[in-house]
Amino acid sequence: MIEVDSVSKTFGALKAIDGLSLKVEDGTFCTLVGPSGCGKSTLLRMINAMIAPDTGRISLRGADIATLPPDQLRRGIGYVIQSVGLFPHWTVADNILTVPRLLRWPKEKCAKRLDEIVALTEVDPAWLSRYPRQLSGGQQQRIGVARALAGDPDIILMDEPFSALDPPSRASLQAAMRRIHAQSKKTIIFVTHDIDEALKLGTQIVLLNKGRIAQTGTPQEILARPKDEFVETFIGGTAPRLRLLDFEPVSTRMRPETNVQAPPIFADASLKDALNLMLSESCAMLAVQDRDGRRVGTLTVADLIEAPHGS
Amino acid sequence: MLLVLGIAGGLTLVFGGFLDMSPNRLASGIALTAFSLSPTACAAIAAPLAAFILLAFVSNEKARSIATLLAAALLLYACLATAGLLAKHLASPDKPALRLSLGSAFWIPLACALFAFLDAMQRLQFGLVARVGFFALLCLPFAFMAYVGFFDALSLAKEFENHQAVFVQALVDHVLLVVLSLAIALLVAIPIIFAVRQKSGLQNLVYASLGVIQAVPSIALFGLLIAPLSALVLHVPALAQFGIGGTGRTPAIIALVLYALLPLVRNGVTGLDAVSPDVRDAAKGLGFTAGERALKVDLPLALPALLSGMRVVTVQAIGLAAVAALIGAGGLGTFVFQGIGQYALNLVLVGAIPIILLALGTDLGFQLLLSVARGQA
Amino acid sequence: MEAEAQSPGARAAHWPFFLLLTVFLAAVFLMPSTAPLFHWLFPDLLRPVYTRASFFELTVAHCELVFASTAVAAFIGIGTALYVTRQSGKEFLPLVSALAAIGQTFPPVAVLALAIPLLGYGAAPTLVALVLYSTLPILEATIAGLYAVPGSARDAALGLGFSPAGLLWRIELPLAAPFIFAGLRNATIINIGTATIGSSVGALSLGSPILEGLSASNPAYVIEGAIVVSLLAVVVDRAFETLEQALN
Repeated sequence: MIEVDSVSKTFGALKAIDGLSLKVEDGTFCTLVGPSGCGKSTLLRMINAMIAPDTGRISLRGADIATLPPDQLRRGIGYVIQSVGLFPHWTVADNILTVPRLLRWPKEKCAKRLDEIVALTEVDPAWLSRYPRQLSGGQQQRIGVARALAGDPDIILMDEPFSALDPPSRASLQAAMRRIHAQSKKTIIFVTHDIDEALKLGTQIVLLNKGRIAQTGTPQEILARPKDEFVETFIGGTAPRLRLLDFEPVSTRMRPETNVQAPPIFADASLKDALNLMLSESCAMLAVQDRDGRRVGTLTVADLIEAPHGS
Repeated sequence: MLLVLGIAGGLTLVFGGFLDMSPNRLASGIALTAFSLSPTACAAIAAPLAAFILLAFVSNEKARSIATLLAAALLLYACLATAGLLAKHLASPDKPALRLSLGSAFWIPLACALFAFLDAMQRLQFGLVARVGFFALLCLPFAFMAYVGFFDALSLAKEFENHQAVFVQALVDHVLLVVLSLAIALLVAIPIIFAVRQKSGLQNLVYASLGVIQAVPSIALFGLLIAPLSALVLHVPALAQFGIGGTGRTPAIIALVLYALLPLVRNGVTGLDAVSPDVRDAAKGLGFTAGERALKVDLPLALPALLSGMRVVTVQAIGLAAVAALIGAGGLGTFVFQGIGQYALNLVLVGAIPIILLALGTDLGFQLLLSVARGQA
Repeated sequence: MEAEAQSPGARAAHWPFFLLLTVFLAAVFLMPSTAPLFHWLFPDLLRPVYTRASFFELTVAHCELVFASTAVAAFIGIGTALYVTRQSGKEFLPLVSALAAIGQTFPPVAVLALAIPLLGYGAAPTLVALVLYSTLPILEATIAGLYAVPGSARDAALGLGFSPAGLLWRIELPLAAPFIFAGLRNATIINIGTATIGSSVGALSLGSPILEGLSASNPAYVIEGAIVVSLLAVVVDRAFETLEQALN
């Protein structure tokens, strides 16, 4: 667990972090999101002691990080930055194995780890002997992610890692991160200024404004109940009500009738998929099936619009 | 291009002296043209020169360049063979003092051959390795000819033979002087580089003061160091036990180090400045210690710049070390200044040619190293 | 470097130049009166101050050598650079730039030494060696400068109707001027140094007292010559620096 306890940090006249407290449980995919200058990068860089807080403390599994040797601490935390920062004089394989070698793992262990990481991050093995400048931006950042994971850290810090990439590369890397998080259950702290990306990836969203937490919670909580005007404006562009449909399966809204003919949809599909299907089929009703193809209920437009009683 | 080379070579061949013959080492000689010595030999040299002129009218660039390489090789060896054979022919055992020096009709066609090589290789876009390999291949027969004594009758070879024992010592001294100064200069430059990068205000001061030293003529700097060093050794006699003296190697090394500092520091700083801050941030964030960052990230990334600084400095030091012979530091410059003093021009060449070859070889060596270092970064 | 030139520290760099110039002139003219000083430093020496020629004569001879050779070198170097960067001389560009690069690895002393067999002793071989050697940095700098002219500037000028000569005089040369100037500075400083060594082949220069002092074990001569020639070099270098800043 990462605990941030009433931390403040001032740069000159700018109050970057203002008495901020936050808890991140193990295995959380936590996205820090907010407008530029809200302090999200500063907060991230304080967790691996790249920036020291003026006041307050940050602890990792109960230990104050200020008491740990910074180099040791950082070797146990993955780190991915927007500009990637691959070492231009090392091959891709050498870059990926940076931290295992800093940790002086034996050769065989390094080789084995390289294979695992290449598989996990879907790095093309043909790249391994190339130099970073021979790769595209998206390919480089994939290596950046692989490098952060290679030392098998429990925590990974990512500072706007995909902001500079073209949309296809970004989507592909976002999908990879979701899969990696699901498979490895690592704690990921992910800074982004893009609320869409934050909602898509995060299991816990931390919305920051002027060095303080504006709201924190699951994506659904943020979308359904924005706490104040700032949050409302910030998530406004994402069509929050429409977005919420993403997080709810068809099974929670369907009615039990099974005799009406309509285009079929699975019960565990999202409400957004259901709406999309209605729009594309020009119908107001869908036949809900389970994964075995058995008819379990019906979903109408009215069910989409009105939440069932008691929810 | 080839037209100019062919005509220039041809003119000197006809009008210039191929061999200068003088009855002894000191008397001035008479210039003998190649044609007056042996019309066949003259034709052997003239043929590749004529080939140059004809080749100038070939329009296919690749074919022309390859043919030029061949013609230039022929020219080179025609000159060398003629020089060796004619000298042998003219020399006689009853006149041991007879001196045969190479004249302009030898040197200028030789230079034409080298220019033609350079130009053709440039046009064929030979890489660095190909160039070095080609020249090495070209030099092999020459080395063999020299080894079996083909050139022995030339007084250049005689001078070399007379000084052979000292020559090796002088060469070693020369190289040692350069290597030692370079090593010391690096040791001094590295802390200065870090200091300059830490405090940007220091940069102007360091560059300005080292820049002043660069302007001072070498022999003046050597001279200025002699008196204070002599005084120092006089007052601290223990220093003399370590081989430190007012003249000789000590002032030479100090001066060479002083000259080397500015290029080393400037290139080092430029190299480190060019390391991207993102790479440094990533290294720090992944848990490199400060030492590991300097050794594994900063140093290798700044290496190309540092190496090109070392290239400049080393080539320069080879020339400066020659001047240091004037203050008794030894080295190949000794032959040059001895030769000048005794009016023994072939002795001057015994010093000057190896100095030039040493400088050229070092330059090439650094170019190779640089291309390796750049290939990685 | 650009930013440095603007700093107040760099602007104040003018006064050391005039100070240096004063010290240099003082060294040249007041050297005879330093006899007591050198006598005190080296009591064993019979003649503590070099008198074979006055330091003023030596300085003038030295400057003549340097000025004449640099002027000729500039003429040849800039001329050749202009020729090989025109359409008609393009043929020679690869060879000329390769030669300029390789030639500069030849130590100046070696060039000086090689000039003797051709020209004998005295000022002539020194002058030729100085010209030969200093042509190369000027040539290289000028080619680099002309190549640094942005293609867009050249394009625009041609598009606006400049003649090739107008393009050269009003666009290319002014833009390449800083490079050419740096080459000239480099060449001049090298020439001051090589002219000093030139006294070993019999040319009269500020190196004469140094070399005579070395061969006759008279450290006072060495120091006197070394001080004056060093000051000359530094003054000229500073003068170039000041001019460079004024031009920018």
